[in-house]
Amino acid sequence: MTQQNKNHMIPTACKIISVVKETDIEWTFRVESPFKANHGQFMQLSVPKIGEAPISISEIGDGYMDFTLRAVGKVTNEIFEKQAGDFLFLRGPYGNGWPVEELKDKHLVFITGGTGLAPVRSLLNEFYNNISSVKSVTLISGFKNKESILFKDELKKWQDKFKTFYTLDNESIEGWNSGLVTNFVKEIDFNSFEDNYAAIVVGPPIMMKFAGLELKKYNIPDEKIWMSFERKMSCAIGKCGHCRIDETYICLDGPVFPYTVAKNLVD
Amino acid sequence: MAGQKEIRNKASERMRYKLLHKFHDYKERFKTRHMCVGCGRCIHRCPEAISIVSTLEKMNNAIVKITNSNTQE
Ligand SMILES: Cc1cc2nc3c(=O)[nH]c(=O)nc-3n(C[C@H](O)[C@H](O)[C@H](O)COP(=O)(O)OP(=O)(O)OC[C@H]3O[C@@H](n4cnc5c(N)ncnc54)[C@H](O)[C@@H]3O)c2cc1C
Ligand code: SF4
Ligand code: FES
Repeated sequence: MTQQNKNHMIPTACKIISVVKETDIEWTFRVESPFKANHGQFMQLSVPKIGEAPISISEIGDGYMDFTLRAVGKVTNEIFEKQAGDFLFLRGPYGNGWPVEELKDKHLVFITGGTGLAPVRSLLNEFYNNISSVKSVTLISGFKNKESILFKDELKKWQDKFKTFYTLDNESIEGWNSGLVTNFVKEIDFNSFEDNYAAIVVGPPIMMKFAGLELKKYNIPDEKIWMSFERKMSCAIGKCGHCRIDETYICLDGPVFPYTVAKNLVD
Repeated sequence: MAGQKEIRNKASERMRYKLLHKFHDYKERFKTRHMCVGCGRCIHRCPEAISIVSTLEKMNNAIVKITNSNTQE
């Protein structure tokens, strides 16, 4: 089939390799995948006769991909009925993903809220495995409470090579800080980065807003801040307009934006 | 979306979003043409028989009014 008349909406059946229950309502599905993707892109996951949902790729491996889903509705609940050996339908990858080349050789500061850790997990692992490709990594990661902590093993592993601040909103348990992620931005000595750094922010809209404002307090220039957006989507290929914020199409132009653009994306 | 927040709660907000899609944003992004071809199918489909044609006309009149009052100042 030529590229021109290829039907972009047709998904591919992919076998589930394993399911890891991170929390009660957030599970990571590892799926066999023939697709090539960049860190920070997303796929459309579907179940026949039920529907489709855009889901970030939370890990890319040799012949497989991970998706970390929260069960919230029609499609995601149905996917939670599946187990290893069953099939998920995938199309994609979509979106721009993280500007990996631009982030290399820099001091990186990641600020994530809750499931916002999923879209940066593969990128964090990439830098963990090639730590010499970056100057340093600082990870500020927050969760609501003990029950909502994701990727426990990896959080632990990352502590070997990254500078980490792990925090729970309003609970204190051993080994964890307490308070919102924005409280930890002041712990970062941006001056020591000699102007060679970038900040990456992912989480619920309200958290991204305040993390952005907090970074601005330290005069971090807009173009050094990167954010990943989520919007209701349907087609993921720039046709339906569901994901639009004015004339910006999140599915095509995003989901990753520099703060120069992100700060104007309000609807 | 993380947090499961509804972005446009009111029907009016959604109608505005639709109109902007059909008559501004799409063209602005893709530099082609407006999305609506004026077929009128949605008028028949709409349970409240809201006419896209008269909605557009209303919007147009409002814009004319705003621009006129701006030039008079
Ligand atoms: C680029 C992108 C990446 C995403 N990555 C992930 C991910 O890695 N893991 C994950 O769990 N989820 C992710 N999401 C959100 C996920 O797409 C929605 O949770 C999913 O579409 C819900 O589908 P459903 O049919 O199960 O729920 P529905 O039955 O359709 O809806 C349940 C409730 O959620 C609301 N809702 C549905 N979709 C969205 C949405 N996109 N934004 C806000 N509210 C919504 C509905 O209004 C309703 O209140 C991502 C979304 C986007 C756009
Ligand atoms: S008039 Fe036709 S083309 Fe225009 S919005 Fe309605 S259904 Fe779509
Ligand atoms: S999801 Fe359809 S245009 Fe972006």
